[in-house]
Amino acid sequence: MERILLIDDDRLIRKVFRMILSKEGYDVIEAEDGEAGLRMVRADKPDIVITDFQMPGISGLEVLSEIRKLKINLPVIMLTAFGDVVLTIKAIQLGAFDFLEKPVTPEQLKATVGNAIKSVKSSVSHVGVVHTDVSSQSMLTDNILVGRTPQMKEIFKNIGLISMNKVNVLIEGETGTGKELIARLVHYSGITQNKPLVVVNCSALTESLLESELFGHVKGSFTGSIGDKKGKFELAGEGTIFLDEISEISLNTQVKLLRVIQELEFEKVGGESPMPMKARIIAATNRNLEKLIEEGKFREDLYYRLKVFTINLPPLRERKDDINDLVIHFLYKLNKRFNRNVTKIGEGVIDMLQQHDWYGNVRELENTLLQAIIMSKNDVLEKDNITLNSRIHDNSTKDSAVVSEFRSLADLEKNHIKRILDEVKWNKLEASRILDITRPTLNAKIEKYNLTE
Amino acid sequence: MEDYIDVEEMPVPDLTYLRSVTGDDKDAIKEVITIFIETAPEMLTSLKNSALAGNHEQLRAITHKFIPQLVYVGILSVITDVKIINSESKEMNDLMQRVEKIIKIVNNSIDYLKNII
Repeated sequence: MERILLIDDDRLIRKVFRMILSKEGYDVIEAEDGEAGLRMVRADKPDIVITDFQMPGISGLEVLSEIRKLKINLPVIMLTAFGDVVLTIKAIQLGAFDFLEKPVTPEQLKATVGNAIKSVKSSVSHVGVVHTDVSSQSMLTDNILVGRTPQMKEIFKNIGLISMNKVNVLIEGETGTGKELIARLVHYSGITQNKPLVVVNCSALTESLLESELFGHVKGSFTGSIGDKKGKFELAGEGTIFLDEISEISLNTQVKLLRVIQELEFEKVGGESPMPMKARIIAATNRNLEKLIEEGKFREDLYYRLKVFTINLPPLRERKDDINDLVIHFLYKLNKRFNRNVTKIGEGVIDMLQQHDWYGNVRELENTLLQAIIMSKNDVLEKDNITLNSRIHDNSTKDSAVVSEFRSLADLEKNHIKRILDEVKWNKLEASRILDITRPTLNAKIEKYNLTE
Repeated sequence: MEDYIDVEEMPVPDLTYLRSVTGDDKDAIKEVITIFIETAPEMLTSLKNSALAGNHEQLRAITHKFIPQLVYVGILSVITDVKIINSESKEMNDLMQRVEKIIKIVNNSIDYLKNII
């Protein structure tokens, strides 16, 4: 029988977790703080540890760090708070097996513990890199990403891994999905956090200007170059250079960039002596690079050099469950910036926003909310103040968009319930929690609308 | 972030989750509710004191602990408010209003829970 050590100062959480895990046949032992937990790790030899982040005395991160120093293969599952991206990344950097966001459902708990047990049996090591410098934390929290859908959680976990390794990263995602925020998160959460981050928008400059920007130039190398100029690669030093809209660089510049990556050195425009390139490259694109390769517009060899690790940012329409949290985040951010006080969300607003397809993604949502806040005459964000962009994405969505304007409320409810049920694989408990209705009510609606799995 | 509600209209705790976790074991449900009734008042006091003191670190820590507790005993109508305090307390002009709303609803729910165990 596998033994699970629960470390949490919250009696109620320990009680609920014990109930769930005991029913699954696990031997559950408990500690009410980190110190006691570490003593039990040594004395009781658990197979898995589940620990909270925030506890009196030593924190969950310190518990994790101490366990890693013991050099034993002991999976540690961290319990994080709602939307705690920074701590999540740090936990993964320290070698946490996984993290669970409170409140945890029995299904999530059982699945994660099951995976941890499997990893012990297959002897997968979870010895992470000990790294506890939080000096750049404010840079992270100021630019925080909001997202707790499974796709976003996976991205945060990946950032935890890649930020400790200076590998090149390619970020793919539609306009407005937050590619630069991801780049900043990678830079400031890992080994480059105290080094420069240099941002270059490749589409904003002509070919010759871009080369001068990237590599710098020496005095007299071209008309108007009245002095030496450092390029972005030189300015980035041992930090990060973020090349936004990488697809827009010319084939000539692509060749030069490829050479820099291969040789790890570059030359200033008009210069003769090569300079070392020590920066990590994070490139971003909103276009399909593989298609551009097929069309002969992007070099395949450069593509593979850039995408040592790839992060695919989902469009907002594929993570609509994040809209509620995003609205709250932007309301407070925009209220502060524009000295407004819109702190309540009117009835039906979130539903309305979730019905929209957001082809401009998170940026479009932020702009929509800004406009609505400015239009608001009181402290409530009302549907009447929200103007949704009616841009039709393509012909295939045009018809459905028009039809949807005239759909009945019952029809919308039926589709929404069906979508949620499918999302959670017909776990009615989870669905009723998301829909904020009781299970009997959900069952009644399933029967009423004749919904089937 | 819905409008503030009247005490008379307060929803009662939804024990669906707890029943599911415990397999509808009455003793287990009673144990969890008893722990909540014992610990929640201290939590509410800390919430109010931290809000009055503008201690945002403390507010974050308290709400971190409080959210799952509220979910487990089914006091779902304040979850959004607690989450907002957890992530946005520094930016809030209506912090005290929300804290008072949470206190009112949770106290009302505690009275309800006391009657059913």
